[in-house]
Amino acid sequence: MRRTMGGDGVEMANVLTRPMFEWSTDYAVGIRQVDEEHRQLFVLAERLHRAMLEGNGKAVLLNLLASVVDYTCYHFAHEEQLMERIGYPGYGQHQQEHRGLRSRVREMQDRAASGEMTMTMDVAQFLMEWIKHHIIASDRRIGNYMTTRYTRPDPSHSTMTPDRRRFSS
Amino acid sequence: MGPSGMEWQGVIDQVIADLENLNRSTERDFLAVGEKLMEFRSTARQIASDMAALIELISGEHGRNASTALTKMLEHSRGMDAGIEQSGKTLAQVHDHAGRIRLAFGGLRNTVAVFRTLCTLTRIETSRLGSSGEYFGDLAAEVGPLSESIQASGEGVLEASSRLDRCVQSAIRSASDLRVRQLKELGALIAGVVDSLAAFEGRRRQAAETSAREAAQYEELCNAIDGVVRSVQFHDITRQQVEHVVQALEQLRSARESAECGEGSMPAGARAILALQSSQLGGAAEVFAASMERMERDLESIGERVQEMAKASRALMGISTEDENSFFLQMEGQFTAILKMLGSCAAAQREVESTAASLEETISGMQESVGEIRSIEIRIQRIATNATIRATHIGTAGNALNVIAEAMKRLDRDSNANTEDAAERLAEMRGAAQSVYGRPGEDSVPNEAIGEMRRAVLGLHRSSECSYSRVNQISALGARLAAEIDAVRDGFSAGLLFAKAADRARSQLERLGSQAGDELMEGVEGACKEQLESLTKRYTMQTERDVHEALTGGAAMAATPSEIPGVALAEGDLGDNVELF
Repeated sequence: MRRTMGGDGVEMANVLTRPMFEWSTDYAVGIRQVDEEHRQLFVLAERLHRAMLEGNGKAVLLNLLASVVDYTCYHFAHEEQLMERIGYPGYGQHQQEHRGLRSRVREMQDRAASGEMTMTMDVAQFLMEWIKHHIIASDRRIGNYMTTRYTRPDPSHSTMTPDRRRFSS
Repeated sequence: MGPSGMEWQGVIDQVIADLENLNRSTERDFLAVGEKLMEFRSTARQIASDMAALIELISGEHGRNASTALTKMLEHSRGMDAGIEQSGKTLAQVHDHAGRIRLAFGGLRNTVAVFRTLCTLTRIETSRLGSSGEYFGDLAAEVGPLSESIQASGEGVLEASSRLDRCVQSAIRSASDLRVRQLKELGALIAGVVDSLAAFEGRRRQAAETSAREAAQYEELCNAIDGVVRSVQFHDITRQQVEHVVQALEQLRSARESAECGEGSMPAGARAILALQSSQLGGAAEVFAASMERMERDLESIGERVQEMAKASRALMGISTEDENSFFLQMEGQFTAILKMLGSCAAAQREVESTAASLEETISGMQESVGEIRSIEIRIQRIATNATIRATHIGTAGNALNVIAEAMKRLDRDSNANTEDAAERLAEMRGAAQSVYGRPGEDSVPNEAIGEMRRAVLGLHRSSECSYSRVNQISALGARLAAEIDAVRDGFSAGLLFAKAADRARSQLERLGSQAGDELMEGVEGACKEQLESLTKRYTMQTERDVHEALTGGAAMAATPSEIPGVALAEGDLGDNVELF
């Protein structure tokens, strides 16, 4: 049996067409709705990244920041409702982080609205830090708390899953 | 006592099934690993070529354009500075002129008061003259109000002059602020970007050297990956070894069935065949284990290298561990500051221009007033001249009026000299104001320069954001590649599985062999054992076939490997008929 494996002739997809901001299970916090909403942040960040790759960041900046402001409104509200309902002990600190992020986004939106357009790298860096420091670290702690405190044996699976009946919102 | 037929059959069947299973699973795993390795290779190449493109993007033609744009910006900045300095000087002249005008009209109240006195004296004198004085009625009746008009117009000019002076002083302050604070700061900011780009140029030179090294490193990386691929290809040899062991066992099973051996009896040479197959499996397991060990080592080194290169690519582009201090973000901050400064410059420039425009309007008003004063002065001069003539006509009685009329004429001439001086100043002021704000309907040079500078900064920002995104992408790609390589390495279980399966099969075959009473083998066992082991080490499939055929055909086992066609003696030589991928 002869197998061919690779060589220079192998057609590979251009790896640089891969998204830069792509949600994967590495970023999962383990709460379905929160993860769904985090995916949207990745979509927004990727939109900026794609535009910047073409040197068109300025063109999408205002709309993007408006979308991020909207996102902070509903996403943070959902997370805060969830933390309140589960009695998450780090609620205060987490809410403080949300306030910080929200105010940073608004400040960026104000700067852009006042005509400052050379801030796309700053915004991209901010989104990267948000993902790196807030989602991967802080949001995941909520998921971990829920998993340890509110999991119950799922009769259909051998693994433990968070109780969706109580916490899906 | 030999094994029962059922047990014998069961063990052989089990070993065959296990070995086939082993081949299938390692085949599947290795194909997956091979595909992944090819993907790594392609990714590594992509990273290398993208880095080269990035360096070209930043430092090639684009870099030159950026330098040109910045040099132009600096020239514009200096030009604007010189222009504003000139405007400031011109406005200072306007300020001087305004002062002179105020001085010229400063004595206007006194002049008008003297006119009033002269008018009163005229009235007294004409009353004294009685009917002879009736011809002088207009001297008092007209000169009085006219002198009042001169005062009103003159005061208007004085007021306008004060207003204008305030404007001018404010414009001078703006121009001075613009020069001192903004244009100097703008120059410093632009110089900062030039310095950053110069530093980047240094980094680019360094990048050119390191990029060659990086390209070589990526080439080495690709070679290392090829090495791993070759290690994976070793599996093909072990796979075929296992396939031949399976074939040999199947033949043995068929031989036993066709020979209809009795319960507990074995086909001729069975023990030797089993020993040979066990030995083949042992050799395959050794090759497999050595290849796996090498692969793991190579993959570990590749993973480390990729991580170092990803880190180097970030460092190369100035993205430090503290991302907020990165070169690109610093540049972005500088661009923003320049654009803000340009905005302030444009605003200050507009203020200077608007001051100059309102200046002209005020000067026009003042010129109108001066024109009125001038015409009044002409009229007074005419009336006084007529009065002098009439006074001469009436003889000595008119002497007093003659003196009054002459005094009026002198006063009027003095006033007119001041008026002409003011008119001249106003004309100069107007010219100066026009030189500050340019001709109507045309963009001023500073505004064009500001527009051009803005475009240059935005262009630089566009390419910087593009570079920034690409660096991040390359870096993320490198990190992902390193993580995937680590994951592949950590997920290697084929070595252990292979060793376990081969060991299990060998022990079963050896147990069967030891239970088989093989007289033929017994005679040659001792003599051939060493040769068998040596043969195993120099294994090729053809050799194995030859040996197998020789054994099953009852040929002498004494033949040395070199006497068997196709046996490769060189250490590490895989022989001619090893199938590679």
